[in-house]
Amino acid sequence: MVILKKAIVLVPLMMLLASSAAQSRQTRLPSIPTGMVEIAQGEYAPLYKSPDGEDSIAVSAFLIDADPVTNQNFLDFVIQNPKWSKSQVSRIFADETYLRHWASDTDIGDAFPTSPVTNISWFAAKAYAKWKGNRLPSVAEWEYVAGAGLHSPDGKSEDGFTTHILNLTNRVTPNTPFLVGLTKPNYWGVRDLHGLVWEWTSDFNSALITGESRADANLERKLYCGSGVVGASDFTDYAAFMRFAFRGSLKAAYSGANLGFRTARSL
Amino acid sequence: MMTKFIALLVFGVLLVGCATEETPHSPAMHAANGMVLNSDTPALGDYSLYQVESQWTNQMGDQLTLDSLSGAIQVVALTYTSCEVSCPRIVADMKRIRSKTSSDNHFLLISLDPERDTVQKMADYAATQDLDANRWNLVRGDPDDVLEMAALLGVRFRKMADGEYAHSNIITILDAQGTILYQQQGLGSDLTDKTISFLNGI
Repeated sequence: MVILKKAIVLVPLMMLLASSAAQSRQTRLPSIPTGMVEIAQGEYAPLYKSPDGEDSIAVSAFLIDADPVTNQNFLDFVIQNPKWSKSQVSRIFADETYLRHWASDTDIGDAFPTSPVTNISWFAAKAYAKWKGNRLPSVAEWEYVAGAGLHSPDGKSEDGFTTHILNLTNRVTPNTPFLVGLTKPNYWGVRDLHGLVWEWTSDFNSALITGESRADANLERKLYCGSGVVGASDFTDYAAFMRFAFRGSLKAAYSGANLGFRTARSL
Repeated sequence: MMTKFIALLVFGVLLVGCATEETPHSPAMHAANGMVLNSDTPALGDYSLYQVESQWTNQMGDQLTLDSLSGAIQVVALTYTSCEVSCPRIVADMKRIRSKTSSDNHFLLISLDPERDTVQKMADYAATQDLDANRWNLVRGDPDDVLEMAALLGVRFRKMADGEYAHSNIITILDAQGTILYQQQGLGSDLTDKTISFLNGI
């Protein structure tokens, strides 16, 4: 019954999906794997800078998944790599909540096959990416892609962009994440960066908030506690603050109900 | 109204960021700051770090995997040889631990900076610091594997604009099977004394 209700909700959304897919940029080269899009090189202005840090970080061209990895994608991986099944995974690589929304090792239960997979640890996400011949995107890469608007690489130049992202980020989160691919693709053709699930990055643990050795780390520590917001590069980007705070709270074995991932590949 | 809500939400998240500073990095490790983390150790169990399959090279140029370190207590830290700020203090604390605990204990320094820490550089550093190769391994590996070890040990680090690394100061004690027994977070004689008494109490 629950599934039926969900299906009714989903039908119109599926139609939306079809229309938004048609709008996505069709600039894929033959060498780009299905489901990935190419991101041109550019510069990312980090939200937090160290005192001697640069204003922007160069990001080389790379490929990234247009959509987050789904339950079905992850199931394929688990079937071929049983050591990542929920009954066999090592506890140093994933905590007890790992894949807890699945019915069993190889049955995703009530989860939607095309919802983003969640309840996966950083280690599991990394292993999946490696299996695909890919890797996790870095914080700089992810933020660079997520900073794009609908029509340009710099979303902040578009009216209402920051508010729109914030509204997406503030949405009440359903217990089961919605399907991937329902939101409008951004300038790069990438979807669901905001508002669907949080996403792992390769270097999430570069957010320094504990026992640091260097002066700027102390500064960042203050930033996380609110008093040092003056050090941030953009005060209006609340959604970015939330992502940075969230990453700072993560440990690599954590699995969360709203934490998924997508993969990337260097060019 | 909306603005207030947003401000509250952001503030809330920031608070969460503060509150989680000292959270343990694995559910079985119930305390983080100089406390015993996992006292009843299974034989190369679910929590052994030696399950990772990464390849490392030490200061002698020998290839090794972490499971080859099993059989002895390992005192582990992530540092790099050209670091002038806290790494010398980490190594000084570890040398103090060495001089005051059993000679069966071994020491492992994992380089945060494999690009600059060549085998030669690690060998020179070991010589300068008088780190006996029978008890000390200085290792370099693939940056991705360094990131993984940092994740396993709960060490956060980041390369900075000037090429140096900001990093957590954590000294970890692994049992003979590679399971984390204890972590010293932060430096200084008080903390190191606790680590020494812990090791001598095993």
